[in-house]
Amino acid sequence: MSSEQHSTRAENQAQTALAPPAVSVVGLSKRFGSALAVDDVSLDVQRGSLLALLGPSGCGKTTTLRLIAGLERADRGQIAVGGRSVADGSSFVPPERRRVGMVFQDYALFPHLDVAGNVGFGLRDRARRAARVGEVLDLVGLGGMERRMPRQLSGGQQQRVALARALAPEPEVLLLDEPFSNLDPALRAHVRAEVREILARAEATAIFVTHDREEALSLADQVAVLWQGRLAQIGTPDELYRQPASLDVAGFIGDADVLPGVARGGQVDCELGTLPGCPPAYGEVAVLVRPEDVRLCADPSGTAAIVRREFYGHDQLVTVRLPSGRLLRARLGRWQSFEPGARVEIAVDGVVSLFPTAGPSS
Amino acid sequence: MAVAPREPRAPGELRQTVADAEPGGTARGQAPGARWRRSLGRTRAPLILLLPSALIALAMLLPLAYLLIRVAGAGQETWTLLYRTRTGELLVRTIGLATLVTALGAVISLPLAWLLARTDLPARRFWTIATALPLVVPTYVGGLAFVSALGPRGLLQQSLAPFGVERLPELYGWPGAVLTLTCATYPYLLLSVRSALDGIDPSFEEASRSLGVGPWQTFARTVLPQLRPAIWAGALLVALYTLSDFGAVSLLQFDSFSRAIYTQYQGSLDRAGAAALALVLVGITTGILALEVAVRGRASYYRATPGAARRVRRVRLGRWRWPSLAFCGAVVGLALVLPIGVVLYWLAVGLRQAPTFELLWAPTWNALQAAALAALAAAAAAVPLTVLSVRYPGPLTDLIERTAYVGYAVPGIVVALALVFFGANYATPLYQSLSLLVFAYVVRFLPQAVGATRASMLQVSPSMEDAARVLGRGPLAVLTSVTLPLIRPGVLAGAALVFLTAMKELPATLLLAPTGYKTLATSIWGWAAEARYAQAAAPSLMLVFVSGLALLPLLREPRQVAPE
Amino acid sequence: MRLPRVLLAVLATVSATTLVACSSLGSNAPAAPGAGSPASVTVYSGRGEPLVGPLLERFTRDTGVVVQPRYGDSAELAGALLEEGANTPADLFFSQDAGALGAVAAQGRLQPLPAETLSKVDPKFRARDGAWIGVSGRARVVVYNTNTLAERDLPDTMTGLTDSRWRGKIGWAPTNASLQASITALRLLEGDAAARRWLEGIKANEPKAYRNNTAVVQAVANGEIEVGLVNHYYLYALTKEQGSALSARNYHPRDGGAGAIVNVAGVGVLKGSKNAAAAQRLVDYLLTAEAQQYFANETFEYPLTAGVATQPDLLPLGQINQPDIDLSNLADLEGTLRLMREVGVL
Repeated sequence: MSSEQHSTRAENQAQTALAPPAVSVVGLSKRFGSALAVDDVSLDVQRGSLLALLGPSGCGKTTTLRLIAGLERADRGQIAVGGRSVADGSSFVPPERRRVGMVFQDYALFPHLDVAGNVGFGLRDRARRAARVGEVLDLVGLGGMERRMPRQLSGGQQQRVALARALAPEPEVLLLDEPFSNLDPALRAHVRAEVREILARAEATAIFVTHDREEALSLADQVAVLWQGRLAQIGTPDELYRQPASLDVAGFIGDADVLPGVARGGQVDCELGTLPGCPPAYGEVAVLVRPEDVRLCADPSGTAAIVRREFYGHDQLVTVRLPSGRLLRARLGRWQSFEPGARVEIAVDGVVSLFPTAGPSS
Repeated sequence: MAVAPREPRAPGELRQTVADAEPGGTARGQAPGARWRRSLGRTRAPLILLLPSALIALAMLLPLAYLLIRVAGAGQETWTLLYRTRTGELLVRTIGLATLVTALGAVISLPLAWLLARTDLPARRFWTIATALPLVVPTYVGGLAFVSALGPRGLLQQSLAPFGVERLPELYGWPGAVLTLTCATYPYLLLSVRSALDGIDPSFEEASRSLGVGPWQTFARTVLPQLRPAIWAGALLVALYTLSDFGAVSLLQFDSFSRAIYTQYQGSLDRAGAAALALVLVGITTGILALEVAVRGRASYYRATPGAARRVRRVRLGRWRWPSLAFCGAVVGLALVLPIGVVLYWLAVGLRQAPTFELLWAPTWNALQAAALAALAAAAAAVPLTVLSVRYPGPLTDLIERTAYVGYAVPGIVVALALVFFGANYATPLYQSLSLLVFAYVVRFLPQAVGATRASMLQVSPSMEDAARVLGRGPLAVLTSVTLPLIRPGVLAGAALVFLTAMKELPATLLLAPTGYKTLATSIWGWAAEARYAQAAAPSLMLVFVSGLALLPLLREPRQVAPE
Repeated sequence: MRLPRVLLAVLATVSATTLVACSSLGSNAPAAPGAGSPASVTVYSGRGEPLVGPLLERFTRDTGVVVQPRYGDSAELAGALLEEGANTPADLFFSQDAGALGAVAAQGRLQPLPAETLSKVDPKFRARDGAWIGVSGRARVVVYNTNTLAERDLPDTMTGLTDSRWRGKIGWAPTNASLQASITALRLLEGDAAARRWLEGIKANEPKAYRNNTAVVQAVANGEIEVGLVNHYYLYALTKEQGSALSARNYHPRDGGAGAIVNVAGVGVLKGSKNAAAAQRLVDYLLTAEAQQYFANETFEYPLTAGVATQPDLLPLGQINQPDIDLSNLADLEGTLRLMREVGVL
């Protein structure tokens, strides 16, 4: 919890540490035909926190979300929402009685109802409905739009209505399925910040599904990486980035190049020299080098050669060929300039991640 | 059993058989496509859907099943009858008629559809409606018009008699049957093809043109192949309609299966023979459906971009405008103006003899009543079937859905025959009651209701229903508060179609109507069979008028037009 | 989208009305005879509505008995009665042909008529066991074109038409029940073998097949064919309709035989009828002078009760050389159909 950004949420979590988690999933499995979509997934979501389910398409993240919502039935495992068991081997609480809210990828606004009708759809108490609708619409910044029809709204507005609709009945947890994928890239960052703000104001617990690592890392308190139906790793964005549990996670979480090396505890020998490595290991390992940790220094007698340079404006990605012929990428500030073919010397900042490849590790 | 197809479907629906939209891009609000398939293995179908659907499916199968039982128990004599009754010849004639009518229909419909959808034909809106309107002229009205106008000693011959014309070319048999049925059925092909043309993204053509291919070549090489599924769907409808037609073939004395079944039924004390012939007819329709499924399996769906509001650049007809107009005029003249004109003439003749209107109210009321009940029942049955099959696909629900299409394989005369047997023996309280007639209509026309409802249902994202569930509504409440309002246009279009076709239905009405229950169709038939055209005129016009009222709103929204 | 609102309204109204009607009436079966409700009788009529309808209306007007007629072909309705058995809703069977009545009677589905009713008609024209009774007579004839033929050119019996002289000149309606009945008569009189020979002989003469008897008579009058095998009254009906004399005349084969048979249209009351009394009233009504006169005038059939005049154009019943045959025995329609199919004329 180093970053400032996460401090309030951390406090929230500390306060509610003794209360049951908002969502608790144990040993969840779901099979579609012969394919195992979700395989023995367990995770807890603390009250007031925001969890991202991250993974490539088909990894089971949406299925996990739907299992929590009760839109699918698990083959095995238990789910508790707000401390109440909603699914285990013997019982199944249907979605309408789980007290979860859900925002769908396509928003699923009812086209035959106006904004107020949509937002008030889940509110039983007729007397309080109008007031609550106004309240949540104000929360999402759409006060006064009650009589609009969904088709008269922009994409971003539709999404906020969907959010308001899900929040209106005050669910234990809010589930968001790829909430930003239908938005223009230009809008996305803005809407993301807005949604985060709304969730924080509503003090909502939320789980959202995404295949976009930036989205997951920048938005969530906790990120759960799903890989082929299994939970590969769960942790804060920082932990995930710095100590990925596997090469797969590492590669999915951020750009990385892999070199062979031999580890000796906290150090590793590889083509780039001897580097500090983590976690400590012994024997043959795969060395994971992040481009942003690589520095290049022009040196006519250097062993590596520039292959190409991709310029992004705020930074640049430079690919170099090592003596072994392997390629390595370096993310550099825009002020350095290299011509293809130029010789360079390579240095690596910080600690590289080590993954034992064969034989016994410590 | 029928190889009950999921296709054919309403042309309206064809437009929506659109596959995957990209995960991001255009999918917004009502994204069809890949994501929906995720729901394939959802939770089990709720009993409130499964139970009624299963019951409906069983009911749909009842007539056919009973017919089988009946024929199986009929004994040797019935089977020997089959090969003595020139069954082979009937087979050839029936299939020949269906083929010829379908081919001619395609010859008429393809250019018409192209003229209407892609050219600057003058008065396009008018022609669009006028070319579809023959749908409201039942084949027996068309048949009586052609017989009385072009038959021996018909109006044409009489007007030519002063010039010494004693005989006209023979109308009875092949020429008349082909003419009448082609005029009555080509709109099915036309509507199917035209709606497909509307749905094809013009960018295909633009791409082709930009690659240096001329307009005609472009049409032949990029558009036509994409139209193939629509042509197949339309052709299938035309062929099935022709096979099941009873009115035209009877009036024009063309020996086809449905006429032979009726003759056998009418002229013989032993009804097993008619039942056996009926089964052969079911065999033919099933064969055609199977053929269609096989062919369709190989053809891929065309893709249309939903809501692609690109303006089509219309081909300028230039000098070809006049021949094109003449072509449209000839089709409309023959299929619409001639029959209506002849009926109007007979009405005038009839009015001079005696006012015939007092005889009209009871049949009109009865026709409205039976058709409306059938429309309601079919629409009500279509909803659980459609929701079940779209939302909970699986071996069982597939089977259930397919039974809904049994009506395509069993012509009216067959359903009626089976129900007469069944009613007389096992369902005496229902025998000769309105309920049994309505049930026959539903068996026959349920595919239309299901097709239209399905088209609407496919546009409803399952996440709407999921959202409603998560927001606290149970399955039944979701059905009534979300699904039904969203598929309402399809349900209504389906009901309108069933209403339209049930109004015109003849053979089942003849056999199953309650005693003394005359409808417009049966009174027209009664008079026309006796060649008393003047008396047949008023009910004919009434029927055309009421059908037209039901059809017009459907035409205005081409997506929803789905023929029988 | 715009919806067929008018249609919706119609649907709603119609169904609402129907539901109300159904709940108040119980079902749409004809009301059972009981206190207050008028007597009613369900008639399966093998005779067409244009002919029978006005007569039944007159009956209702005179007696107050409501008639529920179900129209169809005689064989079709006989088939229905056999299929329905004791479940039949019919009270009375009005057949165009004695054979269909005989078939229903043979299955024991008709109840005997009272002697008083039976006595009104010549025994020749009713069932010997009293199960049915004829109400009008219809003679088989050969209709011929008067421009090309004279009566003396015509053969003495129907058999003469198998002569090759008539090749391409004969018209008939093989699906017509009356023609089939005459072939049944031929089988009864001369045996199946003779009937088969006759059919084969006719077939060899390439007869033109027409849809019905009216079309045959019309074709004869037009000279399309020279002779047609029909019932006697079609000529008169067609003459009346067209308002001018046709170039055609009827010929009753002078040597008799199956070609000169006089069949009847008749009625029988169904066993187990719940409205037997009303049905009996209708039977008796059809034998009143008024009804008999109606048949004579409107359909040009032969009235069968004493004292009612036949149309003057018709050859009197007594002068037709009728074969001696029990009309009930014409019931074996199936045998005739089988024979016709075997020969290949059907």
